[in-house]
Amino acid sequence: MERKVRVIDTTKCIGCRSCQVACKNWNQLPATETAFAGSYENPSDFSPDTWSRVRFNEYTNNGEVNWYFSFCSCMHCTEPICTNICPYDAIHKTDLGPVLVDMELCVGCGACAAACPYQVPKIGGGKSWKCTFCFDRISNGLEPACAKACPTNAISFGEASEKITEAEARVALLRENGYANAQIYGKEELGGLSVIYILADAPDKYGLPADPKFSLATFYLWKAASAPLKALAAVGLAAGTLSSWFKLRKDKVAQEKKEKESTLTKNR
Amino acid sequence: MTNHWIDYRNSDVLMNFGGNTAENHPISMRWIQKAREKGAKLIVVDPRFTRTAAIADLYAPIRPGTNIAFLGGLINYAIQNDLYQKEYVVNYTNASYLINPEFSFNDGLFSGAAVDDNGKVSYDKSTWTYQTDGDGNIIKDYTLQDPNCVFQLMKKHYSRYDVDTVCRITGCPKDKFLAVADLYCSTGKPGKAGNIMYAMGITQFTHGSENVRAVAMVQTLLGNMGIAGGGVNAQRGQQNVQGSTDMAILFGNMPGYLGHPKAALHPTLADYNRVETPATSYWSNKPKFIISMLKAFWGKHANSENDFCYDYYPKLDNKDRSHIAMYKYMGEGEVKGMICWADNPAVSGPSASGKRNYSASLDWQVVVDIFENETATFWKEPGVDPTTIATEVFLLPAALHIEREGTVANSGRWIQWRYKAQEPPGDAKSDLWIVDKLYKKIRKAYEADPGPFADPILKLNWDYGEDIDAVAVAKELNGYESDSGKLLTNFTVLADDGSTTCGNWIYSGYYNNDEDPHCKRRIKETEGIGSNPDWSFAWPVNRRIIYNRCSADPQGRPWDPDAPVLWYENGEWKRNDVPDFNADIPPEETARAPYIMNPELQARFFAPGMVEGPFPEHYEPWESPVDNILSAIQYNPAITVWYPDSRGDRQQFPYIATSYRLTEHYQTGMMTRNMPWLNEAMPDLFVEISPSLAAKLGIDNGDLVIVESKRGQFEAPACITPRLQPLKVDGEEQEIVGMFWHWGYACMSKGPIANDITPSIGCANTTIPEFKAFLCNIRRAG
Repeated sequence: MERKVRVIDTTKCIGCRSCQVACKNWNQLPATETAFAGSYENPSDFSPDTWSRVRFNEYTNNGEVNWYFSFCSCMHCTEPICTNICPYDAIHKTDLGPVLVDMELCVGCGACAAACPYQVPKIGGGKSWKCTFCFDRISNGLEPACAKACPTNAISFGEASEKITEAEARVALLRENGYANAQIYGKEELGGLSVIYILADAPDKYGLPADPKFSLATFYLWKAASAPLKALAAVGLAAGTLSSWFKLRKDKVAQEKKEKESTLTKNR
Repeated sequence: MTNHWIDYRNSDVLMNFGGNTAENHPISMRWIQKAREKGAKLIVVDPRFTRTAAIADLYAPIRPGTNIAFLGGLINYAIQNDLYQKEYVVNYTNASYLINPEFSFNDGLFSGAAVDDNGKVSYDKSTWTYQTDGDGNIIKDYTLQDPNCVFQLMKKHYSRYDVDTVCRITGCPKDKFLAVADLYCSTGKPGKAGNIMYAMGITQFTHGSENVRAVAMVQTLLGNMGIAGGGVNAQRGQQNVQGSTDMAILFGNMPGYLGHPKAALHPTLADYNRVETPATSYWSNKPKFIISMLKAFWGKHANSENDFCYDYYPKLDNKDRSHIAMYKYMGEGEVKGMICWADNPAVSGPSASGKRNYSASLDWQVVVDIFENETATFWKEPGVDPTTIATEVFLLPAALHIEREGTVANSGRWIQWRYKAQEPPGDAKSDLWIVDKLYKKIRKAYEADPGPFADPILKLNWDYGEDIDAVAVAKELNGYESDSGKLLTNFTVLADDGSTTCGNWIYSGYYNNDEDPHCKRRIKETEGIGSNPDWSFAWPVNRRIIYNRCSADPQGRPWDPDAPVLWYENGEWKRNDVPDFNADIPPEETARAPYIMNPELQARFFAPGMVEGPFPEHYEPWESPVDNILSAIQYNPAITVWYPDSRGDRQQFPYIATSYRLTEHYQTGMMTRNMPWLNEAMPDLFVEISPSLAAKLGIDNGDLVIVESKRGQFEAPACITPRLQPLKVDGEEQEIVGMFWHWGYACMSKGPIANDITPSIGCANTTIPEFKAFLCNIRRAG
């Protein structure tokens, strides 16, 4: 099955936040306590109970005002750093696209939250929480709740190749119609995101990093925190390839898990 | 709306003027985006850079309360630059009519003005008339050259609205105004469709009705009426406000927009029919509508001998019975009891704190709502001592729209049947259930003690079953043969002899059979222009675009062959809609009679029915920071000033205030302030000001500020944003303070009541309050 993507056409978004509310509705997430914080934007960040939200980005440029709305949630990267950094192998990328946290395995250590270039996962109650790409809906032939609720089709859903072609055509049309900075975002970033943006302006104007990266510092931090892996990590990094580091780490984690399980069985 | 939501996809230029469609009517954007995908442009004219402006192609700021100046500027621009649709104007409008040579306009006043002691002007309209020949026919000049023809008078009137003057008044930068004028007037070409969509930013002014007329004039001048993608499109702000106005929620109406009878003017049915029925136009059938309606009210008791029980129908006395007036009389102790049904004037009314005080003068008050609202709890508002209030208050819990069956009419006049999705909680009941039980109790009381005039109650035709059935009500609204009960096809078969019964003539046809009533149909159109004739029923007679004869030229050729509404081909009219004219006769015979509801059968640029003048003229809002530079008349001279002392002066209250709504909350918040997810998204009321005003007053983003007017004050955090900018008005910068008004002291999310500071002053024609332009002061709290 071809991977799915959501396309966020910011030039059609009216900032109504139907998506934000539909996300809470479908996932039965409680409202958080908020207060006016200087703009229309609320909640001001992701939380264990807020998996998607809309940013309101205000600019003035030569006396002209721009007010850009950008839906944001987990990007469900094709090469997700969170799946690789998770010491407990609790996060996995599915063929359909969603990056999912296995709540049985997650201990809420926060490695994913620290590593995510978009600061998406949030830790609460000993677990890591984020958008699931409505895995329960899309694996049953439905579109994600945010796309379903969007009144203007600013959020749409479909197969990656088709949606990316559509998005590219839309960007070309926007450029023809005077949006000189119109561009696509998420096609290449981090191996290709499962959230593709059609932007009328530079990504940073929408709160999106132009060149998303995970930080090496984070790696060192987590390397230090995950003591049994330390030596292996050093070897991997010294060898110059992160992927080898990941592989080694994964093998190690699998080994540790196996040992842990057998210990548990024994104890029982 | 003359058109409908889906029809927006047919527009070439859409102008959101006095509305905020993305925020308050989000679904409209689905169709606007479809139009834009085909190259259409979206213009937003608004005092604030709204969420609609955020994705528009062109945004132009405007000072609150100066719509007529802006629209008059567009009329002038179109005429001066020859951008109007000439063939349309000549054939379909009263532009060619000669006006009484005594008619004049001088320094803000039209001929016939008489000023009373309070400075209020009323007009003797005897010069606001057409010239007629010896046979009573209107004299016309189809060359539009006669200096007394409507076109030339209009041209002269709006020649004063030149670009520089318009920009001095409105504060709109000249380049922006010209960009709007160029783009919008491009729809004056045949085959181009311009759509003006508006809401309360057009209506809620002391000159609100003239604002609407100015919109209609621009649209008519550019040939945008009656065509696909055109229209004067009032976007209704509540899901069924169209339905409620159809059913006479306004004090001046009976169902189906029949004027409410007045005791002095219409003592008998014959008087009503004589005074109110024009000789020409479809309104010449008015007696059929009212008699069929009276039959619906009093059934078998209504007959030709007793004037069909016309005497039973309540008449207006000579007092104003609008919202502002009603509360004034309530404050004076004239009103003893009130049923407040799905309304929360303690939050939504102008000068709302006064309304809450007045409620205490009532003996009793019944509130019907889905939650306990501020009107129901005025006696326990923080700071009020309940022991000082004697009013007995009842709260009846109501079912929400998804918890009951019935119809909802959307802005496009589509009447859609909805089924009950779930049972209402607890003791909550449908409105129909409540009114049924209420009536039955009242009838019992009258049976026990009839008093002097019990017949209107006792003889009321109330045959909707033991437990009232929405279908039975629908059938009565649709109409049936009085004797057989056979449902009527539509209003064309109504009679004035009592043989037909019809509760609301414009609804006739929506439920004309049991098997497949039109309002329950849900078949999507597969090809066409978006009319979707088998999806619900649009009044009248399932017509989707009103005045649609104008979609084709006099010979019947469509102006726009890509989106033809009706077109004459091979000796017959082909149709994408129900014709709004006699389609059985050749097009030439209807070519100069396309507006079938006007006695002239043509559209009016000159409209003598208006209270303050046949042409819209710019006057300042009641409270304004500047003098009117167009004339010596400062504000609409025909308005009633109810509370002269409540008018703030510009020294004490130097800033322009305007009020509006947000996407996340709805009206007074009953449906939204009890919804945690929405409260989370928009937790507090805040006040929007420009960075320049904030800097001047030393206010930081998020600081608590006090906003006050002559009527009162409230405290809220400030939101400092470049989306509000001071406007240069006649050389001086004027700051605007923006506020929304969804909050009050009831519900889960509580906040100040912004309407405590709005003025109790209304439009000269309709008395709708001037919520959108008044004066305030703002300062840091503490």
